[in-house]
This record gives sequence, C-alpha cells and structure tokens, in this order.
Amino acid sequence: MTQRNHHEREFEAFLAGEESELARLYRRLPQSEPDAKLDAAVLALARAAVEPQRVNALRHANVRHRRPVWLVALSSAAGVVLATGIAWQMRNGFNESAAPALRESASARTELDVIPISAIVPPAEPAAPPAPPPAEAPAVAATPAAAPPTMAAPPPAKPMPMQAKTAPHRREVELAAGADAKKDSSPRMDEAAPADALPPERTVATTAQTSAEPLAREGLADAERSRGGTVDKFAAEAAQPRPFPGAAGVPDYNSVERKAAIASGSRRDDYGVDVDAASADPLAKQEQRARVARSAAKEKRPAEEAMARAQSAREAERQSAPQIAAAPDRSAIPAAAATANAATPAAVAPATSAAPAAAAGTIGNAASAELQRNATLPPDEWIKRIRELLREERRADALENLALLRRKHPAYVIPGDLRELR
Amino acid sequence: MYRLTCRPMRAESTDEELMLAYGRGDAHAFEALYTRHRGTLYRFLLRHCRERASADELFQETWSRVIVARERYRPEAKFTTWLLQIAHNLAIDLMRRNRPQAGPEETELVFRQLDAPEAERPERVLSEFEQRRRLQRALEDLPDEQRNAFVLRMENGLGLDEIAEVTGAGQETVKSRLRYAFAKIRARFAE
Repeated sequence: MTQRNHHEREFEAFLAGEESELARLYRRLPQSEPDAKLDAAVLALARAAVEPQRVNALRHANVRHRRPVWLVALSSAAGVVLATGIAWQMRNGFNESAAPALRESASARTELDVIPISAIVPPAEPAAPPAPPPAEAPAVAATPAAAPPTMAAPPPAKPMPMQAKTAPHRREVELAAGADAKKDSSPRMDEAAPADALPPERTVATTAQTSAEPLAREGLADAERSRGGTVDKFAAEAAQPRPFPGAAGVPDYNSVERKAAIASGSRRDDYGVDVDAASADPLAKQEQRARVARSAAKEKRPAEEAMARAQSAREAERQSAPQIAAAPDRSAIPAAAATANAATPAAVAPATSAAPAAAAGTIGNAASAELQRNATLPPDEWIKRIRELLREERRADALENLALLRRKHPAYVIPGDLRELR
Repeated sequence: MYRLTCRPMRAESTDEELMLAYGRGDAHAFEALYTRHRGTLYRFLLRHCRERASADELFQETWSRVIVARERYRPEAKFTTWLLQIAHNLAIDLMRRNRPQAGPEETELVFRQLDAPEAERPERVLSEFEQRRRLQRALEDLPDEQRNAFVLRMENGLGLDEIAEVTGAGQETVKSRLRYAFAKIRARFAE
C-alpha cells in the first residue's frame, strides 16, 4: 500500500513536471538533432515559398512610396470638406440660437389662442328651446340692418336642442381643439391673424364670393333633381360658376344666393370647410363646431348678445309659425327635415345647419329657409308666393324671391304686374 | 550543427507571432521558429519512428506542411501543439504504411546512432550508460500510444490537454497512457 502510494506520488510529480530521477535521466538521453543538410533543405524550402510573396511586398512597398503624393491631396480635400461641414453646422446652430425669441412669441400667441377657447363654453346654449320651423319675414326684416359685415357668427338660433344635447361633448372638442392649437400653429388655425395678413383666397370676402355662390347653385340644382323637375337646364347653368353681377371682388352678405346657400346648408363656412361634408363626418362636425366656437371667442362677442339674438330669432319664428302651418305643401318639407330625410336641401338644412348658421351670422335664417323652400316650387307657384309676400307687405322678401326666380328660371316669363317690381 | 543568427527581437516574439510574420513573407521569422523547435520535433519523431531516415523524412515533411499552411495559420492554436499534431499525424501514417514494426536490431542500431554525452567519471560512465540504455529499451518496449504520450510529456513538456489535442485522444485516456508508461519504465529500472 505504501509502495503504491509512493508510485502514485511520483506519477503526480511527473504529471506536474517536477524534477525527478526519471526526468533527469531522460534529459541525459542522446539529444538528437537534424543534420545541417536537413536544416538547409527545410530553410531553402521556406525561403522559396515566400520569395514571390517578398517580391510582391517589395513592389507594394514601392507603390506605398508613391502613395503620399495623392494621399496628401486626398487628405487636403477631406479637410476642406470637414471644415465646410463644421462651418455649416455652426451657422445652423447660430440660426437656431436666434430662433427661441420667435418660438417664444409663437408660444405666447398660441396661448392667446387657447385662453378664449377655454372661456368659450357657451352657457346660453343649454337653455335654448327646441328648434322651431324656419323663421319667416320678421326675422329677415330685422337682421339685415344688424348683420355684421363679416361672416363671424353669433350662436345659431335654430339648432339649439342639438347643441344642448351635445354641449358637454362639444366642450371636450373645444378643449381638444385648444390643445391642437398649442401644437399646431398652421395658418389654418391662426384665426386671430388680421384679414390683410391672410392670403387673398383665405379672406372672408373671397370665400363668401367664390364658394358660397356656386354651392348655392349646386344646392338648388340638387333640389330640382330630387323633385324630379327640370334639372338639365338648371344643372348646366349651375355647373358653371358665374361672377355675381355688380359685386365683383366685394362680398355681398345679403345676396339671395348666399341666403339660399345658408338655408340649404351646402355653403362653405368661413374656413373653407364644406358644411355638408362636415355634417357627414362626425369628427369634422366636431372640429367645425370647435372652430366656430373659437371664432366667436376671438370676436369677443358676449354671450348675452348671442342670447338676445337667439331670443329675437325664436320670437320671429314663433310669429311665422301659423303661416307655415297654413301652407300644406310647404309644411311638408320641414316635416321631412324632422325625419332626417335629406331628399331636398331645404330638408337637410335644419338638421345640418347648426355650424354654418353660426358661422353665417344672423341674417334671417328663417327667411332664407323660406326663400329656399320657395325656390323649390314651380315657377307659377313661386309667383303666387311672391304675390302673397307683396300682400303681406314683405316687399324685400318678394324682391329677393323674384330675383332668385329670374336667376333660376331665366326662360320663364315674369307676369306683367311683377315684371316692373323694384 | 546549424546555427541561426536571429535578431534580438525574434527572441522576444512568441511562436505565434513568428508564424504570422512568416505567413506575411518574413523568412527570418521562420528561421527563428525553426531554431526553436527543430530539436524537440526531431527527437519526437525519432522516438516515434525509431529510425533516423524515417525521422528525417517526417521532419522535412512536417516543416513542409507548416510552410504550405503558413497563410492559413490562425493564432488560436498554439504553434507547438499545431506543429506536433502535424508530426504525429505523419508518424501515424508512416507507421501504418510500414507495419510490421522494426525489430530490436533496428532499435539497437538507432540507439547506437544517438550521440552519447561524455561522463565525468569512468565508474559512472558505465552506470549512466546502463541507465540510459535501460530507459531507451523501456521506451522502445512501450506501446506506441503510451510512448508518444510519454515523449510528448518529457521531451516537449506538454500537459494533458495538449497531449490530448496532439494525439486526438481524451485527457483521461492520455492520463491512463501516461500512468501505464510510467509504471512500466519504473518496473524496468527496478529489475
């Protein structure tokens, strides 16, 4: 056992490379080496193997000696490019350092845009009564004098119930629009800019002239089309927008076409948004409402004024209600509107004219609706209606109806008693 | 005896650096490398083949393989291990071709050809000579695997893992071979 352990220890020492008698004896064995001939053969083989490589290396070294010639040029060009880049970056950095002042002014303006939006939440809307039928002549007679020259609108009188229902939701939309205004400072949202600062095509006057008139014609054409009437002639006429006679470049806010467009709901608002499209898209409708609210806030109109106007409009509508009830064929159209049937522009108007009416102003929406309804009548019926207006001493409305009749039916022969009416 | 005049910097370079330098075309690096390993490689092959002619042939072939493979060499492998692996494989191939193995006469001839160092005292000359003769005989009598492992350990100073890598065997197998070789040599000295 001891002998075995001794051998085991010797073996472990052998594995560990420790000095031992066996290792010493092994080193004393003949230290054979290859002879010189063998060494020379191996070394000659090694040199011969690398000789082509060495020659190539020498050639490569010669090429390297020439390299600095073009390397200097390349490094010079790289240096120029680098310096140019640094200069460019520094210039951009300088421009950016000048930018904070502009950003501060922009942010301040954005805040100014936001504050009125948060204050616009109209307290008067929930108290509005249900929407009556379109107002008749008294409202029309009262509004032209009070109508402001701009399209910035007070709250509408007609769609109050809908607004009352959606008031909380619209408040959220307004707040969201305020948040958007903070982020986005595009000219579309920058409504506080003066009119002369805006591009010409974005001014209110141009918008009213270029968009309201053709769309009003389109609305009339749709009305004719839906009634199965003589569409072709009128549609061809409406397809070509014509300049409004005697009002080139100047917006006529009391024009017949504009009133008809407002009533039909097919006009564009002050911001170029198609009201029909906005009414079709709920999100667009909300956005449009928010815009209208902001516009009203920027005009800084007190809510009391809006309420007063709404009250006057409601009273006018109440007065005109019996007349509408007396005409069975005309009362059918608001009934259709109540059922949300969009067959005629007049029927669409009550359901969709909340935002456009607010944007359009207070110039007799009810009277305009009546005008629109009359425009859907056959010419003979329309003439009768004009005579009724004259009998009711509503000469202005009669003249508007007559002017629209002439435009809509240019081939129609106006009776003699009305031909000279001025 | 061949003498190489190596630059001082060559003496500080590792085997792997020299081999990489030779792979790039530096013939002097190969000279330095050859100087370091020519003796150990030759003895390893001589112990393996037991005849000088075969050892010379394998020696030259081993270095030829190194020269051919100079550009493929990667320093991940230790140069000594790689060199001995080449030599071992060539020796195995040669042994397979030359079986049956050489007899005791050829072994004695090889032993006589080996250079015998001079001893200091005459009485020890015989004793030393006898001891070296016994060791030489014991190595000759070992199986090839055991002898290779023993020579790689004693001559080249390789560890178990390196021997395993050179011979292609597991470490435990190498250890077992070394244990048997060690025991047989000790037994021969105990006679």
